Amino acid sequence: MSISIAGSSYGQQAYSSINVNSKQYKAAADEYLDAVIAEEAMMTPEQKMMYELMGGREAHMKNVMSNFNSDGDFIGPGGVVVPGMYHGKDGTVDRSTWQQIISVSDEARQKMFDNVKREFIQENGISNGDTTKRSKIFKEYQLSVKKEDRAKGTWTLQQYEGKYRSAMYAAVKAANPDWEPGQPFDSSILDSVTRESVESNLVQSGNQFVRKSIDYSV
Amino acid sequence: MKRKLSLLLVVTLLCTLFVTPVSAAEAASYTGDQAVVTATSGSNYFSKITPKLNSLNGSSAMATLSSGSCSGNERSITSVSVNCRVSSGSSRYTLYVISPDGTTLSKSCGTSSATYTFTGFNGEDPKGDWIIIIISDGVVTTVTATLKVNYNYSY
Repeated sequence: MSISIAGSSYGQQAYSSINVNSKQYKAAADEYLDAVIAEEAMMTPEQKMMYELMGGREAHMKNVMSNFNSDGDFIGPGGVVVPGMYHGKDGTVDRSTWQQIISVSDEARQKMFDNVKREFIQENGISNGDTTKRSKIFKEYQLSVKKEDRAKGTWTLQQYEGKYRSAMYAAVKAANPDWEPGQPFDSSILDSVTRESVESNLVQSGNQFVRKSIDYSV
Repeated sequence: MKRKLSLLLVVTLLCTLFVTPVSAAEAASYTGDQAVVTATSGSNYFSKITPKLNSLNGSSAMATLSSGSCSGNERSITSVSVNCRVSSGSSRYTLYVISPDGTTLSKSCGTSSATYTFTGFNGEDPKGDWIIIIISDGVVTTVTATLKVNYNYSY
């Protein structure tokens, strides 16, 4: 039978198999314990019985803890969230703190460019959310840099991603003005669109990239 | 004479209006040294629903939703909302949303059905897999969630 001690300080709780001094528990308790205690206070006798049958507060907190890593980062079920990418309750931290342009390695930008090109050709220019591998590209990038850079670097990569795609679209359109996304096209058209050619025409403007100049063909 | 001048002015103005290209919905894209004026910008949305999610005693329940095909080349989320239909007898819970680029945000949710709006995803590209997670604060929480993502796009 679990022992419950009232109080919202995680240090006062006695558990048989939880280290209350661990970062993992402290993070889980910070996020959940007050809410759990409040729920317990409102349980009907039947709910309380079910709760205790399921292991009570200790089992509950162990379940919650499984969503945090040993450093106290929220990682979600099965580690679906990369540490550094959880920004807490929506609205408590302004998104401008992570939606910033930072330096991202050539290698990471090239991987993103190659993925954009591969998917553009594969889907004939359609942005297909069912088949895209962009989440995998972002995750690989996030795991390759330190935690503090993951969110900003992800935002930066995303800005590049959009420009790469636009350049490919423009190249196909220039070769065939009647082309529309979904229609096949000669992929060799994109041979002239390289990461370097796209980036050389970009300049940072706030937290985005804009094109340096636009020349109109006559 | 004055009337003729006024008429001439009106005709000139009308000609200007009909001849000047409408630029609000147009943008120029480029290939490096050649630009093509293309049809261009607008707004769109997608809406997907999860299966029933059951969170028991703090365990998590998760569902993945694909955006499907998205308009445009460059996209920017303008709003994300999650309509949660909560089954009777459910405890309060925490709702997590993960965007395709991995940005993760949460909301504390009550025992009644409600729609929760997130602002932290604004500006992102919505294309790809979205993940919805719920974690019950109590004995059990059962929720069916409808994710709706609005975005602007340009070609």
